[in-house]
Amino acid sequence: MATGEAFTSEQLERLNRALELAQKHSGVRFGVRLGSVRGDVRLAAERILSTLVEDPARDPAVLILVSPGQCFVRVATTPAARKRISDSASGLAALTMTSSFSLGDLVGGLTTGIRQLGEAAGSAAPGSLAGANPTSAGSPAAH
Amino acid sequence: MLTVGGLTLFTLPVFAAAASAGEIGTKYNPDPLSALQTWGIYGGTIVGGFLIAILFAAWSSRKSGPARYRPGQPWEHDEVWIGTKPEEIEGERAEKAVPGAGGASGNW
Repeated sequence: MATGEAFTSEQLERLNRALELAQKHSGVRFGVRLGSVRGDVRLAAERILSTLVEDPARDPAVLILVSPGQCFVRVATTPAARKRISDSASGLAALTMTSSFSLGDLVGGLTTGIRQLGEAAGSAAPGSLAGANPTSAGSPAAH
Repeated sequence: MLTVGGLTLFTLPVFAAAASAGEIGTKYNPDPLSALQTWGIYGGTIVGGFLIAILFAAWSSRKSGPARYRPGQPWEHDEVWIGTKPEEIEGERAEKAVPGAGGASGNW
């Protein structure tokens, strides 16, 4: 299916940096998945979200699910993350991203959206997450 | 940039050689150019220039590697993860619904 990599290494680096900063700032685990989605988008996002953390009910995590071919984005938050990132804040980030996407700026929209969600989550509680290191960022996955 | 450089490298020696070829002569000496020669020189130079530019453009686009995703076009890539992929997080985790999950959606 693949015809080369979707992003250049510079673009991936920008996305990685934005994600890492948001995670360090908020202590919330972030994940971004780009690709087509079959079936119910909301349910698909929740299912993927549940695999990001050990206990989705307790651990804060945010998934940004983007299907460029189907022209939609879904921001999914675990119950713990929802306490910090309200649905309206998620909606605002989704709106920001779609505005950029509609202008053809996929990477710019994602970096802005990630930053916005990280700021909405607020500062990390001491000892929380993660220092999660998104070393695998940008790699294709067979999910 | 590469195209301009290539054209310069090609045309400079040609013009220099033509200029240093000797006397320009008169209207009758040397013999006037035939129509074919005239078209060859004036038309051929332009067509040749375009051909060289096209070859340079094709060469540089081939060199730039595989096609990237351009927004608005169908997504023809494998899925891409930014951040840690679920498969790389320690422990086997089954996909399941998350009661109480929040979020928002958007379309463009």
